[in-house]
Amino acid sequence: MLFPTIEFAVFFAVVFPITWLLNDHNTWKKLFLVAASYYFYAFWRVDFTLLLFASSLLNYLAALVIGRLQSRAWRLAVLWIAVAANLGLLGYFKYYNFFVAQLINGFDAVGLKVDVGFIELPLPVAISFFTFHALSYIIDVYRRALKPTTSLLDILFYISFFPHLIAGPIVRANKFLAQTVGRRDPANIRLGQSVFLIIGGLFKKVIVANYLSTGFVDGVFRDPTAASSLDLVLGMYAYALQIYCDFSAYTDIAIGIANLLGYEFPQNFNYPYRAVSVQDFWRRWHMSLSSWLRDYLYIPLGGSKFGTFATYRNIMITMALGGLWHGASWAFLIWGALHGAALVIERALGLAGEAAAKQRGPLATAFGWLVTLQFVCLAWIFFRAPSTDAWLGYFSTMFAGARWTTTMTPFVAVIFVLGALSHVLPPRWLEALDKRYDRASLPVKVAVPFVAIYLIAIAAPGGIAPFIYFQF
Amino acid sequence: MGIRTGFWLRAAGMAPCLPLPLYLLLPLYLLLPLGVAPGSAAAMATAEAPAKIRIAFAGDSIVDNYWSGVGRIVDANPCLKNSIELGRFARNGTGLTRGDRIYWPREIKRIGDNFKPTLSVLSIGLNDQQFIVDGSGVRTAWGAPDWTDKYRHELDEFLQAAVATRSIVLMVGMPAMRDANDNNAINGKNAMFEAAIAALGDPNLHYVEPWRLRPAGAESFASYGPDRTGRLVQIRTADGQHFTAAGEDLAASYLFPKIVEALEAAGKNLDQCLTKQTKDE
Amino acid sequence: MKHVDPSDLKPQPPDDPLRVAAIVIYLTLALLVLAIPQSLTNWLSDMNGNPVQEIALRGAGILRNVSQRIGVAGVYRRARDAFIAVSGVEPD
Repeated sequence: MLFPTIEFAVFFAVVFPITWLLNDHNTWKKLFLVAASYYFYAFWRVDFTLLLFASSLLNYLAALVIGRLQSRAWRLAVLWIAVAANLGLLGYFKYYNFFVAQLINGFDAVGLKVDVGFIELPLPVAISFFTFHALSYIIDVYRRALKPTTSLLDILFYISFFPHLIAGPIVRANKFLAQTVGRRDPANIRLGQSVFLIIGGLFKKVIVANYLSTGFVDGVFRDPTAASSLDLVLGMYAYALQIYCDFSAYTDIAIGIANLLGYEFPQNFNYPYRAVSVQDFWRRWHMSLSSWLRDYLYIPLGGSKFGTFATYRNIMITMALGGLWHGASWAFLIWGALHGAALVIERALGLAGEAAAKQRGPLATAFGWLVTLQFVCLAWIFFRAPSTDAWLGYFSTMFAGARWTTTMTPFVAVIFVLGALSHVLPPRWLEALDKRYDRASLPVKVAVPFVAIYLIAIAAPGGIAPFIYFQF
Repeated sequence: MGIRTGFWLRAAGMAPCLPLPLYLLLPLYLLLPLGVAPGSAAAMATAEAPAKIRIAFAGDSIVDNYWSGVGRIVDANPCLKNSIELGRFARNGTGLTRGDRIYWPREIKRIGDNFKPTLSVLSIGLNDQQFIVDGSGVRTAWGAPDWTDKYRHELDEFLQAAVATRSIVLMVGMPAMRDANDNNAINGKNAMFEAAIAALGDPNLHYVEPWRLRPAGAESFASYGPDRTGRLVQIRTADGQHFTAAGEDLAASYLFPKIVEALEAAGKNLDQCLTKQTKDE
Repeated sequence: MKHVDPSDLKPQPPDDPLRVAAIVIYLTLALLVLAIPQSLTNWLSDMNGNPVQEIALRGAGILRNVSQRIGVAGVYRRARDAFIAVSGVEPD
């Protein structure tokens, strides 16, 4: 079930009143929301709801055991078993075939034949997201940052809550479980903000991301060597906008939907293409993943505590694995490693950190923004190019500088500019818009989402592609 | 938590590093494409010289994979690129069952009238495990006793419409799928396609066996397979139905010689562009 | 004549956020169904036949007739056609 569909509108129209009617009966409300979330998930495959349940049960039990054990060594042992089980499940479904292929290719290169079979199973939707949710819970329990909950229902609810289930944001257990206690206060509904997050998300996904993809980006990436250099340059920027509009649309709508049900999710994007350094970019892009990687991978690896070399190594490991989290391919690994290398270079040159940012003048800041934007957009080519040949061809043709014609239509160019507006409009304008909406009369409050969605429907393409991050 | 404490203002507070005038550069920078004379692919296509061989790829999303793969073969050969024009007419999520949405016989006629293909590559049926709504709106439930007869009727109408475009028509069978139910269904449909084409007996209408990973023996779905260099790569997408780019190349290298052969049989020779090796690819 | 002391008036209670949210959600959905009635009919048509769907389709048909009679459905169709003509995107 995709957010911008009638199925979801009907689903939400049923879930919304029942959730609030059960607000004074919290257990029933959570039971209902878990059932609704499993129904939402079953739209992709019914049998994988069992996997979702098994994962939740495993982590619930592991946390209980970790919470009761006094010995640090035993707690650590149980944690390792639980982490291995979570990652084993993820690895089996997501990475097994990739590693088998590399193994066979590797042996083949030295003239040896190995016979290892592939598994032909579909990848469970959202497995990366629900695994990371579960890991955050058991690791926080191990660190004594969170008491394990004795309620299986709370864990089922935390891991499966449908607005974040498929593509995040990754909500920390301590932030979410605190919200599962008692009734939710309807006064926490920020209607203006939720309405604009949902409308903006629909616009970014249905109009900008879809038309950029089908109208231009897909064609450019289909065969980069056949495209003009200008098309490749524009294709790179267009894809950067497409992936931002696609992914941020999902999390914006998720945040808005959750708020309408009385729950709060963390911010996931903050004008990422305004970043003035790669470090700054990762504080603005998929913020819930980057902070997860920092807290549960980079810091346990030692962070920056053990000298320069160890810090650089930890950054590289974190970013390379962060890249691989997106999918089982060399391109994702290279993409992550490139970002890691950029972070290391920034550190080595003393460009990272708050102090360095404060010392920078306007010219240096502008230069930093320009360089960061080019780097991030160039790196997206690895993310999007379907094969090694494709990204090699992309770079060689783009930098060859041959042919400066474009196949971008005026319509796609307009969409491109509209997408870019998402980074140009000052945040205070959006804040003012929220406030004006909240003060407006009821007819205006209804008219705004109606007119906006009506206009989006007029301009929508025939079919809506799944969100890019669904595959992760 | 962003929601509670002024989401946008917090965002503003976190994003002040760049002086405001520099943000004004951002739209200018991103407005770049507006300053370039657009050469729409569609517009360019209609302005091409009519002597080109036009190949239409029509049907459901699988045909998009063939269009992509064949497109790369054509793009890689300047002579082919000057001789062939490809038309992309895939309509994702469609099939022969939902005449109330996309009535493919009419769609094929529209493609014939507008694009005037020399040859049409068709692939359809992936989304057809559902009830049928025919061109006049009559519904036949999925699983009903007359479903297969109705589907055969829809198929005949589709094939007749394709032949009426007076192009050479290659109806490509669907490749193996991961899901066992899907696989059974496509095997049945492929057999039906072959029988319907044989029954129509039109010399311009040909059934093309689906691409197979293993040319001999029982075919089963495989998400990984050897590319042209023999390295194992992912060839089918995670949905268990479509091709990855590497898979598209494999399927296209199977399909392209069939296209060349059919064109040759109709007197459209591409020998000037093809070496023996590329012809067999 | 009795004068009302303004201080006697109870302050207007602030709008109940839940009530306002519910009105906004359901009125928006209702207006959208009325303005683009074909969307609901198409969606219901996608389901394999069952008695609930038959009833829902009948309801959607009534809505579509109302929408057509007051001329709203035509506005959407014309706007959509104009958009397709101007943008050059694939027709429906």
